[in-house]
Amino acid sequence: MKKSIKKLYKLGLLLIGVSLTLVNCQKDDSITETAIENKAIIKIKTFEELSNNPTFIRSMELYKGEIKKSKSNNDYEIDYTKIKEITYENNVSYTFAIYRDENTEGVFENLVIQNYASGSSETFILKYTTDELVYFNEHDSHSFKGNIEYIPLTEANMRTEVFCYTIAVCDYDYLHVAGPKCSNTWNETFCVTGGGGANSNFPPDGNPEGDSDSDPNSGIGGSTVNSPKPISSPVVTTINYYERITDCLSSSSSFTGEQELWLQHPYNFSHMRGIAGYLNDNCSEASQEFALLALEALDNDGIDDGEVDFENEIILDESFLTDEKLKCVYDKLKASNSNLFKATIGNFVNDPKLKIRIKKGNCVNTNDACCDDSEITTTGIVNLIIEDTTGSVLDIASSILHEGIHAEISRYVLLQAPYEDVNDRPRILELYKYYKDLYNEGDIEHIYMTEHYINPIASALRKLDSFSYPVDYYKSYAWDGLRKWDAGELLSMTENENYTDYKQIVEANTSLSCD
Amino acid sequence: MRLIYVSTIFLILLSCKSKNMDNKVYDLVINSIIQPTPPPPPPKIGENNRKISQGIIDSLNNVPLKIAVSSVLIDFEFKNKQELSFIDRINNGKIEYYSTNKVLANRLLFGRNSLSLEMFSEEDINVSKIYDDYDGILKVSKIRYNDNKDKALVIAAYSVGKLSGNVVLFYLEKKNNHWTIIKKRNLSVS
Repeated sequence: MKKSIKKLYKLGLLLIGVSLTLVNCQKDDSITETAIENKAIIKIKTFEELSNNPTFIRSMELYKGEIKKSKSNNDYEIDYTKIKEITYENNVSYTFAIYRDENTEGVFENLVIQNYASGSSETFILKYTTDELVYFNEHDSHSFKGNIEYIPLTEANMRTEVFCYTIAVCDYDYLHVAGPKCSNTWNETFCVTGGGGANSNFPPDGNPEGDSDSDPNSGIGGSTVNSPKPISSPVVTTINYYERITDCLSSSSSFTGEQELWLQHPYNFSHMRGIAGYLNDNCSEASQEFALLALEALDNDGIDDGEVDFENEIILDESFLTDEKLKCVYDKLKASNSNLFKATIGNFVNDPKLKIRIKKGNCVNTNDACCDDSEITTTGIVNLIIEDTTGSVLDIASSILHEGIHAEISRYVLLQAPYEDVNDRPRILELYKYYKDLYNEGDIEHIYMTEHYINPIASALRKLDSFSYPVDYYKSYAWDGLRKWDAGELLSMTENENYTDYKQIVEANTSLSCD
Repeated sequence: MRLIYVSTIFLILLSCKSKNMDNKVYDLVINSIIQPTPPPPPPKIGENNRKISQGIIDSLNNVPLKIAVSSVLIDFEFKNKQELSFIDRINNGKIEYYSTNKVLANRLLFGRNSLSLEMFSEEDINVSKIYDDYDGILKVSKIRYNDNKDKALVIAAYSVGKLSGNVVLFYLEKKNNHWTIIKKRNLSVS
């Protein structure tokens, strides 16, 4: 026991600086293989490269079979672009980085398929929870302290005995997990007690003078009495998302070295994946601009910070995200997916030039909400600023829709030649031309909205309110901001009074809440 | 001593001259951005060459309006101002504009005769009630002149109710001692 704990202590020392070989390790594509002591070989391969490998094919069939039987949470994405293959004698393992939609900061997971020389195999997940993760630029790696959890895919694979697995260690300034760039490597195997989800701490806890049955120096193939099937798995957090981004943005002078470093940090992986997913097969100039804006929003450097809705290409400013009520209303509005939302804010989705940024902030002209298109010709961004969030969900949603319509009109007008005839949606240009010597653009947009957007706003709010009342009950919201611009006398006094009464009924009974 | 008196009088005269110029610029801006509502009937669909007649505009300009003027002064600055000429800024360039802690001098704002402007401090403006008594709320920026004082930029914000206001950047030029609005650029709408 004393001997074993002493060995564990040695292992702990080795792993104080365990580093995770991350994306940068693939920067030099010529280095894809690392020979390590004990005759083990690590190779980094793609799915395509392994697709004709019988062992890999058998491994994937095993995985598919197990995943069908699996009762655990298998809602994750497997990175097939960087697969680490470790071969030791006749034992071969394949390790993949896997990613879930809801990634927890500091936690990452690897899927491991271990094939033994005896012909048996097993599949499982290693979940790494980091207490400390520090990036070392000079060696493109990260030191790691934390916890590793063994999660079998099926109960049949659940280990009840001690199991061991092996890490290729690199000695370069400090000790860390070897990556392809390391030229001085050797193997370290360590063992933990198995079960439904075995855990091991890095560095291991315990008395360095204690004893243990496990033998961390046994190497990949080394088995102990309690660990007849040691597994070998390198840490894999690699994916080509980084390359996808840098390949696309490298030509942009706005893409900085600091941003590259930021992308490489594992804590930013989910953001990197989001940006890479957005740029996938779409590296247009407009997409690059949006990706750079997204980087600026996500890097949390105190300047223009926030989140990014890549699906809708909307930048959600930090000021917006920190207002829980406003964020809640927006999420409900987006989830309701009304035709108006799709036709206004949603129209920016496929626009190659213009994007929306939603903020909580001050409007110079009112205390409610505003659509600021002052930078539309320079950055292509239209800012929707919501100032008053004291109203009901329907009030705030109405303001978002109202300003979204202004944004859409600004987008439309910019794309057209102002004041010239067009075949599509000519009415707004007709009104601009007619009223331009009297009113400002925003005023004329309000006149246009009285003609075309009362029913769409009311219908969108009705849908948001789960169709609780007829559409007229939501028209008072729709007329907010437009009553004074009713050039066509579309709203009679009686209707206005009725709609006001209806609104009170809706507000008194709606189940919508964000408080 | 005599020199001090003369200098003082000269400075006062200069100051008066400057305020006169400000008055003229502000008058044009105020008369442009403040218009009565509801608007006159729109053109029929398809009447895409019609423009509102000058007679209607003149008539509307005679409608008396009671305006609350916020004493808060707007300020603005341009990004990349070294790269842009004075006139280019009206069309291009990112403009940052914001309310300041500075207070507008009351006597600078008049507008056309049909307008009655009343100054309020920001604290005194009850937004939920002020539209019951006033037709709109006006804010203006200080005026930016070029070195020759014959070109000017100024921002005005005018609101007539909830979700119903504009922020507009005006570019004006002075020719033959007469200021004219050359171009407007909408910055924001509510």
